[in-house]
Amino acid sequence: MASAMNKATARKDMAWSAASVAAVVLLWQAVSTWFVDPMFLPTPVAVLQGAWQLLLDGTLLSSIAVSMMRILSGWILGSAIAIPIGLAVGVSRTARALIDPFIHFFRFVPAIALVTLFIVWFGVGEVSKIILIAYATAFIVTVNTASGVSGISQDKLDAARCLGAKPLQVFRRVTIPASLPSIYVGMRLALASSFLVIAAAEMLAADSGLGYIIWTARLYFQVDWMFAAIIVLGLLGFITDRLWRWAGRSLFQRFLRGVTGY
Amino acid sequence: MSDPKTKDTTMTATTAAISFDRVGMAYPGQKAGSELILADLSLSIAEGEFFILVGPSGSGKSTLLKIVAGTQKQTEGEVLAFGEKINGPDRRHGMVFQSVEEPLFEWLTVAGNVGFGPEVAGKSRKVCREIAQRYIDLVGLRGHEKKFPHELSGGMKQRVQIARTLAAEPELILFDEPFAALDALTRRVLQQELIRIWQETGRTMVYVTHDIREAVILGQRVAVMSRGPRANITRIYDIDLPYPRDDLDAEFARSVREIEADIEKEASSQWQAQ
Repeated sequence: MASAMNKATARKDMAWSAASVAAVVLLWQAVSTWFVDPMFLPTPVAVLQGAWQLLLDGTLLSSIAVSMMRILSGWILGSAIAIPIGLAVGVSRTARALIDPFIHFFRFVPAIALVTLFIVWFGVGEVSKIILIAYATAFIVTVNTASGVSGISQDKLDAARCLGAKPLQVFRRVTIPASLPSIYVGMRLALASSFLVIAAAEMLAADSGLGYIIWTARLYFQVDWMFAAIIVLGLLGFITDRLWRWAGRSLFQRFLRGVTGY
Repeated sequence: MSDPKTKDTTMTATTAAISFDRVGMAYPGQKAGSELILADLSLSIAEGEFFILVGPSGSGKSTLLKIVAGTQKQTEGEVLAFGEKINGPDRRHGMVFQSVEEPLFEWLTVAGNVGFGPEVAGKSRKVCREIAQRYIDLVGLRGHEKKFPHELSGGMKQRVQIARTLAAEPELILFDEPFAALDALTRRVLQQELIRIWQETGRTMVYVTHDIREAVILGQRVAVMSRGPRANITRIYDIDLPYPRDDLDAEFARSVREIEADIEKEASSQWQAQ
């Protein structure tokens, strides 16, 4: 279905995006060269040099690996816990009554507020960070899953029952596939908040990771390292989000018809 | 045309596909004895019959269907389908819904949707495919088996719903204004198709509509319902015209006019009562 016109519009959109990014980088170069002390706002070129330095001594790649490992493990763990809970809350009134108060209480306790508590409980190692990410992920995914389940039209469920599906078959063959779009969107939103949380967690208690680079760079007054790590963090988020979108479009395409393009 | 009461007694003597005995239905969330949507409704539908329910909106037509489908339970009286009490939804009481989008499973192909009934009944993959194919052919969707619902027109989606309901091998099929959301031309085509399907499968069909012309095109009997609360069947018309019916025929027009007058009287008497 990808017609020539679609491809042409996509290429045009891409060109606009590239031009916009180039313009911002140029503006940054100009501002940092002529208007601001480069000690506070290093030029893009200086940031690239800083990144190159970090790349050569191996810090950058290992930090990326460590941060991504924490984000992905926490995100997967959190989703694995949240999806069954969200399905239960969406399907059963009793489960909803039992679990709802906790969901809507902890949902407003930001993960960042729990960093120090989790360090006390789980130590400064990987466990506390992964659990923190899982925590941040779980509430978003639970709420999205539950709202997806309760949004399934009664006609769809009645249709399945009138075709002879027993309650468990309705759950497995209708409820789960019909709520996949909401689960998918919830996981996408949770991915973004995982990046938010990892930076905070690695600043407070870590000896590795991108957040750690941002935090320790201040000791050496290496603002260019800070910028390098910040930009890498943003790029990683951008790339993982694109990968998740790609996965949605290719692997689970038949389930995600209702998800909008953005 | 006949009086519903005398009709009832004659029908119950033979095997009825559906029988309602003084059925009442309270509004949801209210207990029996409070104000009713349906009250004291008795009705008998013969096996293999094409039975139509018409009436002003709010007359509980859909409620009546849902009771037979088993998705709702009457609060008073008894409902039997082929002599058995209705105990929740069941593949034996198929339902075709008005909504074009919602009832289909959008993650399954046409073949997957139509094969859903046999599949949940535990039939083998091969048998499911065969059954699905038979009903896809019956509703004229051959060649579209691998398409997903979003690739189909509204009329085709309703064909999928009909095929899917038939594939679960129901004893009777309930239709809740299935063609109301379609354009006039598609609706006419599907009405003729439905008559053919009914004649080929011999299934009992109960069809709710607010379109009187459609009622007379399709039905052997057309029941007119009064407006709720305490809705009931006021009159049942026998339509003794051969299929396919010609809507320019004088007899056809007379039936339509008569039923129309009846419903208008019903609606206006309610206005005066209020």
